[in-house]
Amino acid sequence: MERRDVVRNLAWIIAGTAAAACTPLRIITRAFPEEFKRDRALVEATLRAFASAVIPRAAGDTSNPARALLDHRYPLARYAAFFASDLSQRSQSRYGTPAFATLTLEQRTAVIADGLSADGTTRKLYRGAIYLTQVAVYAGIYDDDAGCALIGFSGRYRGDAVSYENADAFLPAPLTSSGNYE
Amino acid sequence: MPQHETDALIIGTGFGAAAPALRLAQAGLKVTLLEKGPRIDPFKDFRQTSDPDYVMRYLKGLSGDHLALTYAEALGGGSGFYEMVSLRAPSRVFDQVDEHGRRLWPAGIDRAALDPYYDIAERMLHVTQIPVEQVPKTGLVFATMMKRLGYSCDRARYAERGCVGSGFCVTGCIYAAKQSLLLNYLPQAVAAGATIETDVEALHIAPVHPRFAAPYRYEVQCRKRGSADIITYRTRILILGGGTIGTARLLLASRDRLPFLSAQLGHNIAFNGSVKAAALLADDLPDGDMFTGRTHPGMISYQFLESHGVTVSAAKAMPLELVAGIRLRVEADRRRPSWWGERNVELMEQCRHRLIALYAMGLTPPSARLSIANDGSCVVSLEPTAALRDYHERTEELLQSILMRNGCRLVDVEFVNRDGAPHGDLFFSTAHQVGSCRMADSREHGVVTAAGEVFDYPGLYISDGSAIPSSLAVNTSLTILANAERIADEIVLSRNAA
Repeated sequence: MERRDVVRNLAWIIAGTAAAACTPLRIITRAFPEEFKRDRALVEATLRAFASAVIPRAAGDTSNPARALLDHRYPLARYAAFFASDLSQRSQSRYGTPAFATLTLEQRTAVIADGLSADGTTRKLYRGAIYLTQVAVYAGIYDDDAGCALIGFSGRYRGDAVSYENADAFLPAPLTSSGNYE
Repeated sequence: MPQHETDALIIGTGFGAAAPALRLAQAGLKVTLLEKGPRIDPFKDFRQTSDPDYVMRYLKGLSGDHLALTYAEALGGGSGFYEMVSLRAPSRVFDQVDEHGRRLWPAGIDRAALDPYYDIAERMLHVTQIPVEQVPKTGLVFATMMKRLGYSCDRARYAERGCVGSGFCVTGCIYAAKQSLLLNYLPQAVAAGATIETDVEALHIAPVHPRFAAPYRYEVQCRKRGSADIITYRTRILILGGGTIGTARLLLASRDRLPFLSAQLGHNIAFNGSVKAAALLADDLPDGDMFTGRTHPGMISYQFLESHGVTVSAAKAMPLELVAGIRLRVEADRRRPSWWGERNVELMEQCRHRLIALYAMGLTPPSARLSIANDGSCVVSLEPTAALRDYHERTEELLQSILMRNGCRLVDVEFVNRDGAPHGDLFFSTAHQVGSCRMADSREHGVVTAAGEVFDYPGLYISDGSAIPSSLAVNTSLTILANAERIADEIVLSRNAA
């Protein structure tokens, strides 16, 4: 894929998908339990558990894989409390406990899959949260130097070897003498 | 309302704008360039980063149901963020015809006519063929795959001096090795007397005098970013170089003031028919490296240009691009969930060294269209014709065949739409859009003459990608620049003659 083509999609996720997903939620976000409105630690713990199900092993690679979900530069942060309460409600329905963060990876995966199968608005919210988590963790958006050790991304360039020593041996016959086709 | 007078006003600072700016300033005209995007210092402002705030400050997107376009808004246009691939359009590009058998390019414009201007553009940008020892690993793996199948592959050409292969071409080269226009055309134009205003958006164009009054002059209303005040520029020579989207948008917004514009305005957008396929490398192939080496990995194959109308290259992508808006999953892997969770981590862990992506650029017809919606926003549309579907299917099969015959395991690459769901239908994405104000032999078929002058509007020129009338099957920047040099030449000659 062309790199710039794909970068273009980022705008959708951050300005589009999440916003589109969240706009209708304004109607219903007043209705979720008070504890999620008051207790930021509960919201953060729930979203960390969500992020570590989206990217298992991410927690060992970054201080907070859910940081982007709470970052007010992105629209999702406005709905973080509602999103956490939705995870909690689905956890209650499926496993009899509202404590999503205490579920096993397999259980959390199933709860998220439930959200992705729900009504259109909820589905968009879950998709947006997954994409934003992936972008933030894999691309290391909060630290140009850190990258993402999980996938061997070292952040900025560190003098890695660009080519192989015997590069000539890899090349087939060219069709042109200059690289320009007549 | 501030009002300025200038000899030549140029909208934009990218590949289509920079050449006329330099040549007209060198010819002694008072030249002013207006850039909608921010000023960039190539020695200070670029970053090796995945910070979305940084990326989205300069790169913009426009998406329809079947086509998504990417473009830059910044001093230097796309040149600060392109892959620096600088190839001449093959001769057969200029022989393309429309559905009536009419040649897409105007009479007299072909590869031979552009070659002298390609020479100038290449000298200005220091374009050279990549040395063998600098071909990135990904390019060498691609070359190996082609070699095994008995296909040819060529080292590509780039606008660079002293590239270290850091891999961040598309966020701007912090080493100033990439020869963006910020290092040559624009400072030379300024040295020749041109002035550049950034963060200024052109809103409308209108002729100053009634039609047929002489001398013909234009008034451009503009607005500085963050200000409601209107600034007016008056000029005898007005050159639009804001790109395929920017130029068409400005003219569409000015249509009631420029009533004789061709009905072809906004139509005929060609998009280089970009088709992608990805796979995990077979065990007997060496590692690639998605994250290191110049963004375009050094090699291009013209093997299928005559037979299929496409060129084939490998592609690289940073993690930001691998996960932003696409879903990756190994084909036939039925485990769920596939695009997130453990399966996705497994795939992402392999992406740096064992993922290969191929893409083809093809001679697809100029069939997309740009229009203005009721709310004033720009809309891009593409009719997914049977011919386009057939092209996409055949080209995807070709790429997958190259991968599979090398023992690679295919990876599904699904682009997602605004709702975060995969596109369920034909979908192209590109940064190689051209042709929204194409050159033609008459106003029935295009917006500007072969000399770049808008039909029925003397002194109003278009010199950017919007004037290029067809897909090129290679990266577009060098052809846009060469054509802009040619048009600048025509303007200077006609002025001297006058």
